[in-house]
Amino acid sequence: MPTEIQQFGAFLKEHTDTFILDFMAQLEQLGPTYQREDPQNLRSQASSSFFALADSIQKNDIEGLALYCQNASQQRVSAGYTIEELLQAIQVLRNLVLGQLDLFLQDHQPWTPKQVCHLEDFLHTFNGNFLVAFGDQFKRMQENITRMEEELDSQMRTIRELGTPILPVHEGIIVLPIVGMLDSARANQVMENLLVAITDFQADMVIMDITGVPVVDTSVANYLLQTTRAVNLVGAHVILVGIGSEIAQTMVQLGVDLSTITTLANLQEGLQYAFNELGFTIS
Amino acid sequence: MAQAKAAVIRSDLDIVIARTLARDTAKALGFGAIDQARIATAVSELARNIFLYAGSGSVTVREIEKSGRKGIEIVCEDQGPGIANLDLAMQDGFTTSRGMGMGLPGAKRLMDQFEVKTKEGEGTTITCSKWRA
Repeated sequence: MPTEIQQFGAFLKEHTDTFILDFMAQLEQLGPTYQREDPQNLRSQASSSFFALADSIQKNDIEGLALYCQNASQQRVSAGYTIEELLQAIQVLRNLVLGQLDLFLQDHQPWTPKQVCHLEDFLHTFNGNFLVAFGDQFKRMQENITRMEEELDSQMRTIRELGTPILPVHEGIIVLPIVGMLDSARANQVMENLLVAITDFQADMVIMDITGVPVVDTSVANYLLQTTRAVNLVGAHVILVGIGSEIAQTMVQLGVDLSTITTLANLQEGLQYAFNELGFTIS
Repeated sequence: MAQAKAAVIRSDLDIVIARTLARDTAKALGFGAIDQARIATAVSELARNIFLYAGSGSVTVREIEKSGRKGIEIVCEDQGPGIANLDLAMQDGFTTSRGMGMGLPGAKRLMDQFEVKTKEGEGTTITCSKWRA
């Protein structure tokens, strides 16, 4: 003999059509994702949720309902519904069900609080499972972010290592091609490596080629000046090459004064100059 | 009005993103190579200032138009300490960090229009623009 609550489940099923009509009408008033959804899809989602609820009440099978909710919530989360939208929809469902309960009780004995609570258990299954689904998604996104940050760190390290090769091209001459931007960490690393290389190779001339530096702002200019000073201190000279006409104009307007550094047009001229200074000739 | 694109400044690398955004927008607007370099350098200075003094802020790049002429507008905003003495700050060589002190006046020279709104303790907003020839 089915319990009162199970009879209510059957009652709900008998009134599916009107329920779905009301349900749809209210869902369409909810957030943008509901309004963007294809009406066919929306109806099918609404119907399956309603049926799952009514059926589980009729069969007194709350586990079956939980299973349905787990699957449905995963699908809704992937489809891009926000948690507000879903909780609002569940609230709509709850209110409509309680409305139906009023109708049902017109021909039945009033329910005890215990019976009402039992019905609420079914309704609460939706809330609980949907919240868990969002929690899982959030956790997955956090894990993704952590993974991406680690990858980014590793790439940055690689870029720094690729960064600035120091090329000893001839007795006493080092070429330093600088490519890309110089953030402060990289700039310091380059300067350190350079000073060590000057000592290791006994270099007298350092040709810094900034052809590959897209923007020379005051911080880059400052770095070039500081590096030149440091190189001078260890007894070598800097020749700066690779300043294009755009950078030249910009530097003049900025007001940076690189006149303390020997500048030449390109690497070729820089090498020629260095050879001359050191007394070599290219034969 | 064209939509604005913004870059958030929170690190060294963001400076590059901001200036690339400015340069790309300038290029798309038809600015010549030298003007592109000027705009990128100005943004580089201003974004660096945001990072150095405020720690974080934003750079917003927008296409503008006046009497049929196209241009680029850049707004650099931060909630940092503000500039205590704007007149001093706009002088070449004045610096409150270990830089050259050319950033602010330099950026002004590179752009056509340059406006600074700042209040000590409340942050700074710098709006500058350049018109295409």
